[in-house]
Order: sequence, then C-alpha cells, then structure tokens
Amino acid sequence: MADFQVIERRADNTMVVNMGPQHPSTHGVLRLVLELDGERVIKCIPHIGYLHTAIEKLSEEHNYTKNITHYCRMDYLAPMNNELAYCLAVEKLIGEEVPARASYIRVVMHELTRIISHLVWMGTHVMDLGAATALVYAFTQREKILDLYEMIGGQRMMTSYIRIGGVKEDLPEGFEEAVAEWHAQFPEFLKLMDTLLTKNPILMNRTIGIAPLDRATSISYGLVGPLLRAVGVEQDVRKDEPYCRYEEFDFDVPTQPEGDVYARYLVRLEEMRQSHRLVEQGMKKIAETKPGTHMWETEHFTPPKRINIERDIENLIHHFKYWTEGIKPPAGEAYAAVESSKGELGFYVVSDGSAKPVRVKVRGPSFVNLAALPAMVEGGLIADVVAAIGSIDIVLGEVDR
Amino acid sequence: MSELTLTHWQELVHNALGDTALSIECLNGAVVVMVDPEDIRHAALQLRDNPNTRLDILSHMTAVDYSPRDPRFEVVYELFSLQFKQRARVKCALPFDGGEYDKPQIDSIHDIYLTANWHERECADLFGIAFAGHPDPRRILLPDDWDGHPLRKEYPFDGKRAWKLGSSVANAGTMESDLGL
Repeated sequence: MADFQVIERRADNTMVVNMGPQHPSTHGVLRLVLELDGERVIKCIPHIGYLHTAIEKLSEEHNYTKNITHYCRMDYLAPMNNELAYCLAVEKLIGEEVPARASYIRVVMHELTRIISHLVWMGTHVMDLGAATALVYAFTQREKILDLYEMIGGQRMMTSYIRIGGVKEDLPEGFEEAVAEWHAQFPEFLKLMDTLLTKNPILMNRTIGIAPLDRATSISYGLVGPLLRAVGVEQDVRKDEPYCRYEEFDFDVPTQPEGDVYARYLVRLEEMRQSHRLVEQGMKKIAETKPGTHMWETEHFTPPKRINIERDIENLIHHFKYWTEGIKPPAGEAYAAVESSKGELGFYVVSDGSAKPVRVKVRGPSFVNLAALPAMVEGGLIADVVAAIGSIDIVLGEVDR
Repeated sequence: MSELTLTHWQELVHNALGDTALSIECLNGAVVVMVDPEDIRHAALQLRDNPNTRLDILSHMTAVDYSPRDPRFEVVYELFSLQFKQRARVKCALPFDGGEYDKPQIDSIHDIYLTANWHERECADLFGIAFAGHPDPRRILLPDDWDGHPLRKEYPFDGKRAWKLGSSVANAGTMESDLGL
C-alpha cells in the first residue's frame, strides 16, 4: 500500500484518501483514512493497532518484578515514566512509601525524561512543519540526557532503573557533576529554540488557529497533559495528586487559553523550563539525604544486597526466590497515575495475592489523546492534519501497547 | 492534596448515587463503588452532573476477567473531577457463563464521555464484551478477522494460531503445521 493513496473518487467530487501507516509524519505506524472535499477534510478515521504487542496479556503471565521491563518499551521516548507509574501502582498495593532519597532520584529522572520526550516532540513536530534545523539541536540535547541515563542505568533507553521499592542503584560517582554540567548549558538551548521558533512567522502561520479544540470537548474526550493545559485548564497530576513528594517542590503549571497547535507548543516549551527548575531542586534534596537509602529495607519485597548474598546462605536463597518466584503483593487493586510528558499515565493493577497480576491496565495518554484527532482536523485543511498529529505528541508503542 | 478528606468525598459520591450504589468502600486510597450494570448510564450521568461530585473526566475504563469466579467479568470506570481533584472508581459485575464467542452485555456511555468510544471498542476487542448502543463497534487493536478475545483467561498465552504472512487468521492452520513440525 502506498503511503498516500486515493482509495475512492466519488461522483460529488469528494474523495477518500489513505494516509499511512508508513507516512513519516504519522510518527510511527498510524493510518488515517481521510474523506476530502478538495483540500478540506470532511471526515477522518484513525486506524491503530499496527504496533500491538499484547503487553497487557504478557503482564498477566510474568511476575511483578519481571513486568517492569515491558513497560519502558511502550512509550519508548519516555521510558522511565512508564516504569515509575507501574512501580507506584504496585507500591500502592503493598501500601508502603519509598524512602525520601528514592523519591527524589525518581523526581530527577522523571523530569529529565519529560525533557527528552519533549525534545523529540519538538524536533519532529517542527520538522513536519518544514523547519529541519531544530531537530538537530534537539537531538544534540537529548544525547546529553541519554548520557546521564547511561550513567545511572547502564543503557541509553530501556534502563529498568526504577524498581518496586525504590531505584536499582544509588547515584553513581560523578553523577551530580554531570547533571550540573547539563543543567548549566540547557537554558541556552531553550533560548536558542525560542529565537529560532517561537516568533518564527512560518511556524506561527502554520500553527496559530490550527486544529482547535474547545474546553468542553477536550474534557469530554478525557484529554490530559499539555493538550488540556492548552485549553486553559490547570490540571497536573503532580499538583492534584502529588506522588514522589512533589508537594515539596516549587514549580508552575503553564496554561494557554487558545487550544490550538501554537498553544500546545507554548505549553510544552514552558514545561521544559519548569522541568529544568525541578531537576535542580531535586538534586539539592538528594544531597540532603543519606547515601545508600535508595531502596526499601523490608526483606519481602526487595532483593538482598550483593554483600549479604556472599555472606550467608539465607540471603542467597532469598536472592534466588526473589528473582524466580517474584514478590507477592496483597490481594486488591490499585490505580496510580503520574504526569507523563504526554499527560496522565496510569496503571490499574489487580492482584489476587499471587506473584502474577490478574490484570494490568495501562491508561496511556497517547491512546486517549489520539481519539480526539478527528475532532481536531475535521473541517480543516489536509495540510494541517500533519500539524495536528504532531501537536498531540503520540507514541504508537503506547497507543497500541 | 485538596482539603476534602476521603471519607467526606466518599459520602458525597454516595449521596450523588443514592440507591444506585450497591456498595461503596475505600480501597488503597480510592473510593470504589459497585453499581448494577443496568444502572451504569444513570450512575455516570449522576456523577458527572451532580454539583457535589462533578466527575467530568473519564480517566480510563476497562474490564477485568476474574475467571473462574462468579460473576466473572467486572467493567471498571475510573472517573476524575477537575474541580474537586478527586477520583471515584465505578465497577459493574457482569455475570457470564457463555462460551468463547458469547458476549456479556452492558450499556455504552460513549455519549456521556466521548472518550469512552475508543475505550469501549478496546474492551470489546480484547474481552468480547458487547456495548449496547455503541456507534462504531469495530475492533480497534486487532485485525477485523481475529479469532477470539485475547485478554480472556481462557485465551492461551502463546496464541491460538500462527498467522502466516499474507493469510487471514480465520483459515490459518495450527501453529505446528504452520511451522512445519
């Protein structure tokens, strides 16, 4: 199937066009069927599922500890957000909070993750609109944060660093300096993007007033995150239902009233500034806590320390049992949500007291936000469909799961 | 955290629903209400429009297969209020003793919350639950000719059939024959 192909020409001069699933500006494998009257879109039907990997079915077959590795592969542009949301849900089931140091490390990684996700969004979104330069700058910055990822988790993307009960390892040596170095040069990049893009007449022409949504429709569609904030609703899971001690942090929730593509752009740009602030606060708070307290001390739900495994047989047995049998949270259900870069990312976990969950439902923001695409583009021009898709910031891995 | 305590919030939700709520409890920091599947539209409207609850966002909805327990399915609606910054989880138990291709039924709420449209399609696709009154009951994640509903507990973890490239699922052979074993 061609990427862009006329499926049907009708007698009344309207036609049906297929777009995707391998069109570069669909950011993955999204397929749209567009009904056109000239250049105007009358109807838009999204087709998803090309990347369905049955992660929810897999989750029921694997145990709680193994499951973490699935979720960073869903939203692969913001891997740690997924791990964090899942771990919070399981910790809610168990009913215990993680130590302060673990919380602060999570906050720092959460905010860095938000920035890398927004960087990819920014680069690809403006490239769709015709500005290829910004992509190179954005990816250069992203590489710098991926270096931090590598320091902390050994990998650049699928780190599985956030674990049930805390984080895998304490901060490595030299991490604070590396973050400080990144922190010092990032504002300059934001300033550069601001001068390159924010008042760029081409970008403004292609985004202002495009793909608008009003407040009531957005709420009914359950939109969350930057899309909801771009219609003037001040909603942020970090403020409304603080997790990871976000109530101790000082940050603003940016909003814009217009509800068009440009408003979404402005909201995300400001979010990067706020995340930048949060990283600094987080690093300060980490420095005040005791090193080595990055994980629960309880035996049941955490693996034994390496040094203890070598010391006695009980810990060795515990080590094997932990990794083969997994942990057994009490029976019940819990829903935990985090403010991911794309909106509310939630995990609904149902446990029957065994080592495998009965059900894990992933509430992916991309899935929910994509459902509003027809409402955004119907009535607009076909050239603006690309701008609308970019402004939703979807990751198909999370839409299809 | 908002000033509303969880007990007070639970009371408000209970008042909004009245007799529609079969049971209401607090589970791991969330208010959980059971309602009869017949009353789901009424309950959703009440919770959305009552000035004391204003649960205007459907965060997500899904189903859980508790097989072999009876009632087997539970449909779960996670609601959030922008005004009160509180959540409520509404659950409907769906009794079901049919076979692999039979479908339990519940009313659709796609017109109360627009987002329910896709969530219900996903639920119907993966669990085989029929949503009465849904305007577009196609499968959403799986191909239209897919055999069965994968998130049901009886659906085998390693799949029912191998899907040969280019062939439709319906007339694919067993996995062994496709692999030439």
